[in-house]
Amino acid sequence: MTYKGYDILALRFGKDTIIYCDKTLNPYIEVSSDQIQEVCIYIRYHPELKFSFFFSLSGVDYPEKNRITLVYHLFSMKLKTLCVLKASVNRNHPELESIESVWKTAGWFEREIHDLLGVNFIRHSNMKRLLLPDDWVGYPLRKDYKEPLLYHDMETSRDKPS
Amino acid sequence: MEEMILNMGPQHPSTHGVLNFLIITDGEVIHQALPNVGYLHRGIEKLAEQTPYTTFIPFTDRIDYLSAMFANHVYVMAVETLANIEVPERGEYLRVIACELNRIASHLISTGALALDIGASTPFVHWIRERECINDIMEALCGARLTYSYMRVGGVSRDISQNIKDAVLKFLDHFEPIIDEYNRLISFNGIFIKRLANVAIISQVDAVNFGLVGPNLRGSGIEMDIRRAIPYGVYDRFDFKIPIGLGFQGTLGDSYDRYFVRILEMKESCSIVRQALETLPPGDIRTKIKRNLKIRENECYTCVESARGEMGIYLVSDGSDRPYRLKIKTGSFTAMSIVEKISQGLMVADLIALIGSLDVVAPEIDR
Repeated sequence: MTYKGYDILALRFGKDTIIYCDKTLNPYIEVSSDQIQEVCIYIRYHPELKFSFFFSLSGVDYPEKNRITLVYHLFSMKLKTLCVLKASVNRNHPELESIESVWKTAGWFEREIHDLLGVNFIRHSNMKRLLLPDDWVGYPLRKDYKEPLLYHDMETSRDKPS
Repeated sequence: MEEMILNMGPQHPSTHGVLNFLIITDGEVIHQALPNVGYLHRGIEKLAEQTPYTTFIPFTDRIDYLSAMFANHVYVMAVETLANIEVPERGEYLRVIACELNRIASHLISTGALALDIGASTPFVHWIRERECINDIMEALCGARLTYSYMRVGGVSRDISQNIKDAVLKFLDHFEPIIDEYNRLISFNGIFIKRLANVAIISQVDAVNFGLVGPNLRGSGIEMDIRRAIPYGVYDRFDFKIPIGLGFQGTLGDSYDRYFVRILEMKESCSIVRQALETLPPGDIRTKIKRNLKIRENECYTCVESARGEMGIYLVSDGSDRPYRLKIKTGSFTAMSIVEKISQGLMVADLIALIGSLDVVAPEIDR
């Protein structure tokens, strides 16, 4: 997202709560986790921004900083540009407002992140595991994940083929 | 009124892979179809964190077996962007040729299988015959017929020979008239149209809201193609149209529109391959890179227009020789999430038409 687009956002939410960072290849905007829904609604419907295409939602685990960062990739046909939003949550109590009401498709992305990283999305219509079985223990994409040795008395690993 | 619960899949032939739908019906009318995915979850994103950058390429083939070239492409593009590697022009042109041939092959399966799913088995056999020609070309070009691993970080693995060039041109000369023949065979067939037109209509609002991409989004009449919106590689040098749904035989955004957009796209792909072969520049096909590629702390999001729409990779590096986090966004994932809404009130037989026209590939959903 260009700096001009950020200005519009900063005017509404204040430069202290949303921070522009261009150290990475795609500049991103850091948003506090309790404001993410408001920012998403604003950025989607503002007539000069119109980031109506939801590209992807990913979660990244940073154990040494004790947080999980959620990364939203949005696209605007009007500005022909990508917008990256980042919101961080505490790793011990990962909770965040769901943006399913803004983009329906985010619901499935959030379920996947709930499944693989253990983040809880508040006011999500169906906060269940998506890819793994419902009774799976642990969150595989966390950095400290250890695969359980048994699942329903079946071994989950096998000897390396010689 | 009595509700009945039906399980469709995970071994149903028309679910294109291992997928399960829990269908709540009243007789023939579906009240709700709940997709149950995850049967093909292999944890590719987790595997990426344990695999060096250059050795991960064969894994990307397995994301979507029908269009492996695009997964190759988006992954190497992400690594090149992060490591700041330039690709020689000839390498970029060869990528375009390989990708567009793969797009034709994938659309052949998609449109053929849709006809097969709703009861017409002849067209599928014709399309498979054409696809064999592409498979032979691919085999000559990169040594594999399905899981190509053709792209390398910095270029492609092998150069195109005069023989292969001739084979591609011969195939295109043969294939372009066949599309019209195929249209006469099935696309304009009255029964086929009746099965698809006005069935499972996706409005523009829903298409954007549910994040549909690629031919599914364009079938609803939205002109959105990553090749134009965020040009990558050398796609900005070619002249091609972006076909969109117009309500060809019924309402805008119905199953027939999604089907026919794919047919039109194959013609455009043929034209891109011809242009690329004509203007193929001489030179290297690959930049030399370090054997043990390490990338300093950074992150990027790259996307390509795959046969199933926008495919994106979010790659985070931390200075080591393997990704810190790799997220793969695929078109089938979002296409699957719309089934629950659109299927309400459909007939059971029309659900097959919906899934077939959305062109979902199960391993791409689960990764």
